[in-house]
Amino acid sequence: MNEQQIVSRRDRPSSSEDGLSAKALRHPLVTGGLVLAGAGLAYVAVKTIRRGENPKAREVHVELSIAIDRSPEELYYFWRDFKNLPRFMNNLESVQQLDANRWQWIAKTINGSRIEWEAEIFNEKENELIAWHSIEGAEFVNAGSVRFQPGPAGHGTYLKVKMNYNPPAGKLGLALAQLWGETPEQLIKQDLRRLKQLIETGEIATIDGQVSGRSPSPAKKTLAARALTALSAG
Amino acid sequence: MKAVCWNGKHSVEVVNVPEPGIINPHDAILRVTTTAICGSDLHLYDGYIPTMQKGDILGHEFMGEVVEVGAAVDNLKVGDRVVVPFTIACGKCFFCKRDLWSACDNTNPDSQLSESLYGFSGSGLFGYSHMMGGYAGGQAEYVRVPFANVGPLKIENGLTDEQVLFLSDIFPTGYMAAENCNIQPGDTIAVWGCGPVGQFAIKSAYLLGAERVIAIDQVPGRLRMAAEEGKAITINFNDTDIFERLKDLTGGMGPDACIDAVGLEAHGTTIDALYDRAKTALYLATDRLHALRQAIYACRKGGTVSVPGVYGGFLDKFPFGAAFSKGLTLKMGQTNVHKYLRPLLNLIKDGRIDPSFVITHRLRLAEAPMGYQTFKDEKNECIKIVMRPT
Repeated sequence: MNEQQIVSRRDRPSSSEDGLSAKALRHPLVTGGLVLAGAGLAYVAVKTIRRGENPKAREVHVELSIAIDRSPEELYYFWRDFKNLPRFMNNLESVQQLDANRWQWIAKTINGSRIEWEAEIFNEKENELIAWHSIEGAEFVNAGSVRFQPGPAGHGTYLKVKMNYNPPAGKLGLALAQLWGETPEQLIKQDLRRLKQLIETGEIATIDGQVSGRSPSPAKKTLAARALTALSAG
Repeated sequence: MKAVCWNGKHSVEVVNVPEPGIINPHDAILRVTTTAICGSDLHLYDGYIPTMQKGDILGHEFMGEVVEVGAAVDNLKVGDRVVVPFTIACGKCFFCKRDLWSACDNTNPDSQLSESLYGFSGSGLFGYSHMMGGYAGGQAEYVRVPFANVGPLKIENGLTDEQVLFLSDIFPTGYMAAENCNIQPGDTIAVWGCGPVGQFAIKSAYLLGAERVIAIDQVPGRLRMAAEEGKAITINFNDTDIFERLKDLTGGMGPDACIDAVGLEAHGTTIDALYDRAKTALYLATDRLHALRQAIYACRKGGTVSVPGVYGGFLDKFPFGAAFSKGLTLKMGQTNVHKYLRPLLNLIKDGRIDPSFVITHRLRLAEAPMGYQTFKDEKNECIKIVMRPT
């Protein structure tokens, strides 16, 4: 079977950009720079392996690393409680526990509909590894694992995340493809950045909800009024 | 509230927009009392920075009074008067912990583009394009300040806004440029560029123990400020050969360290122009590298070239051979403002420097469009503009 390994494939940025930055991203120099930047970095490394020519049969495989300044133990317990995953994985609506090792995952798609599947943890080693996969017969076949390794002194913990999935056929696959597009690794990279922010700082950096010259006409409630409301709410 | 919004090339507008609110637990909201226009704002004004969107609120140099705090802000309260660093930093990541605040890992909500261009993204900035986080800026009546428990510096009574405002950016920027020169007793430091950052670099070099500072520019008004305020020896490169004059002043050896406070000239160095040219030739035909190139040629062997910026893309005909042969140290980077806030505030309190010396224009926020135009066109008379919202 032919395996094509694409290191640091360029993707369209998810936020709205003007034409010239999109153009910049496709430029061979940028790609070249990325190959250099991506090679052998413990910080964030991306590999995408695609097999076969029929997109329907394509398996998506993503591997990412990120360093987070917490002990492997703290990160292991945070991730092990899969209820936490939607806090930083934006495509997930919820993950609910069914029993000790089984979880119900619900992901959002673009048109308001959802996909659900059941997954189980099939391998784990405390403070080191969690591996899960969708159970037999799930509509969305996927698997993932995360390893927690102490980094060099002063560098926190290295997380190595692997995710595999077969994009489903039909409408579901189309919806997923529209949502996740060609850039599952970009999405997961962004998820891990959010995890790092959440763990290290207690919040996820955002400008959603900030004001600008594009905002609809000024809100009636002024700062003073909001302060009073906050005070009376305790 | 009124806010200065980017509206395209050479177009800024003062627009009525909603007041900002708390979004994250470490946010605070400031009522802005004084703000300023930065030389790097002109790159936005000239349309050279990509990822700007019409309606983006500008401004990264501002200070004011806290009017609202998020649930997790425990060191500020309503009524506190603060100056805010233009770089937004979390205080908790690998880089913040090592005083590399402008490299903060956790404050750019969308770091993809920056990562693509540079390998990694630095911190978010106020009012400086979506590539740098897209945060609304402080040329407005109110501003949302993320990580308010980390950045803002409390100012007590007895100091005016004009005395402390420049702790937000240009004073630490000039100071870091001088600090990066690793100044030793007896050193001669040459500074290219007598804009506000250059002026602070000159003063900082003396504060850090330089014996002589040489200031290089072509605008008489700026050279005059460098001489009168900065006590620098000046060179107008329209009248004088820089290299000959520098050798003359340094016994043929060259300055011990050189500061490039000119940065990326806006002309012909837009990011898209850089990539387009790189496509064809792999290097750029530009005549705008002169300050940095000159600094490298002029610097003595074993000296330091210090670059406070700003550079964005690729440089052509960079004399790396000269830098190598002479064993130069190159130091550069976006300012780690947080590192310098308290030490520089102490210098101001002790009367060793009054940063308000750079101010040449005082406007109301409503006059911002005129201010940008003036700053761009009137280099001789206009060195630094401050604005008040009312």
